[in-house]
Amino acid sequence: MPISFKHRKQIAPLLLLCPLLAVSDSTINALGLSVVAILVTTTASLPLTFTLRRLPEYGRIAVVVIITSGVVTSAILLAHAWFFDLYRAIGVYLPLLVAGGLLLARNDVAVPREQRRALVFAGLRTGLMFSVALIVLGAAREFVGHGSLFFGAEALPGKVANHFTTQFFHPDFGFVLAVLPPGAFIAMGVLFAVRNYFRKDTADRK
Amino acid sequence: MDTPPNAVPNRKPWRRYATFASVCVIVVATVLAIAVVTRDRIAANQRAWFVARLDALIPADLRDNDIYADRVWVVDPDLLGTAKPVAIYRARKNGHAVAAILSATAPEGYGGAIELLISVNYEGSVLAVDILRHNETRGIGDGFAPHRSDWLRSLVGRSLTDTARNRWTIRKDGGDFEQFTGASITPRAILKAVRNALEYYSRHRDTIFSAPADAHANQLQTP
Repeated sequence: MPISFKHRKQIAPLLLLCPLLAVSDSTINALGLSVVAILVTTTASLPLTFTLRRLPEYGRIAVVVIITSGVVTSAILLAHAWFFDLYRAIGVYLPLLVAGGLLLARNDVAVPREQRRALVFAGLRTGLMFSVALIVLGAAREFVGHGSLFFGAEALPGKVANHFTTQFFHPDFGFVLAVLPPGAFIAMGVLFAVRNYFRKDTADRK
Repeated sequence: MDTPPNAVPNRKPWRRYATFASVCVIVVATVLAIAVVTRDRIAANQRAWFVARLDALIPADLRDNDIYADRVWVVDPDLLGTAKPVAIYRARKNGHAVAAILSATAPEGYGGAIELLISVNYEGSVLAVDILRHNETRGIGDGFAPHRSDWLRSLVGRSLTDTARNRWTIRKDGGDFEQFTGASITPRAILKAVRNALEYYSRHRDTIFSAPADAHANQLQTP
């Protein structure tokens, strides 16, 4: 069985991706949200290093939620004020990052004083892994459902991605299911399968 | 679960409450500070974005006034699709009325209300239609989106005089307009909203242009 109780530590963060799947309907949305997600998870893990040690197990989740909501709300306001195009593209999805921030809660919390940096790096790593998954999903769904890659690149600040916008075939020939919400779950299932295929030879065979 | 190596000893419970309370206070204070700092910029951004949307609806050489400021507020649930007051923006050149932009709502969209901006020249034909907000199914009901088709362009130049009332709908219903592949509810709703807005304009044109800027619905005299 690919998903079983003994795999819960790997599966839990993947399930937390679910509320964010809605965003992964295009590469640019996924990319924009990834950038914000990395900033948010890293920033949020910083104050957590100071507070989590002082709290018992049952109080930590509350502090994680409060701090991540605060950081996410600030990120929304700042994006709205200084990156308006980006905000127009992904703003409605940004509050969902609070769920992503819960990923931090699982980075086992009682880090000794001298390992504070470890927790910040854990935040960064969580954000990065999350981003890779999101961008892969976004690119795959946009290509299959819409026939393009990096469509709407002008929403990202710096206009760097503008040159990459490519239309491979007319959107009318796209497989619409891919950009609809169910397509996100199907694409994630495929991602799971790919991951399990490569994992097969190592851990899971035992 | 393993016990973490340096689990918190259960001695001074008040310290937890103090930690928890200070976290709350600091988070709220930070968010409030950022909200205050960003408030004006956010308002300016939203305004600039909307003004750019409005500007795109009426060719620049037709007008010389500030359309955004030259607006009146009206209410007409039947013809404009919402019970809330909506704005009509007026374009003038050398003081003469040339065009108006009506805000309308198509309440019968597949995914709920569709908000539109419809610019109409003085004589009452459509100059341009812009979809402000919608919740139609991606890839099916959003066939009006500029990157998918130029369906909205097919409305340009139409008026109540050149297209009879009952032909302001999709071909399937005996109208003059194409539908999108796999979606007829959305274009039907948009066409109905545009027709109703034109209807509103033709009934109230003189009041719309003669009312003072920012006048509210109840100050308008309906002929």
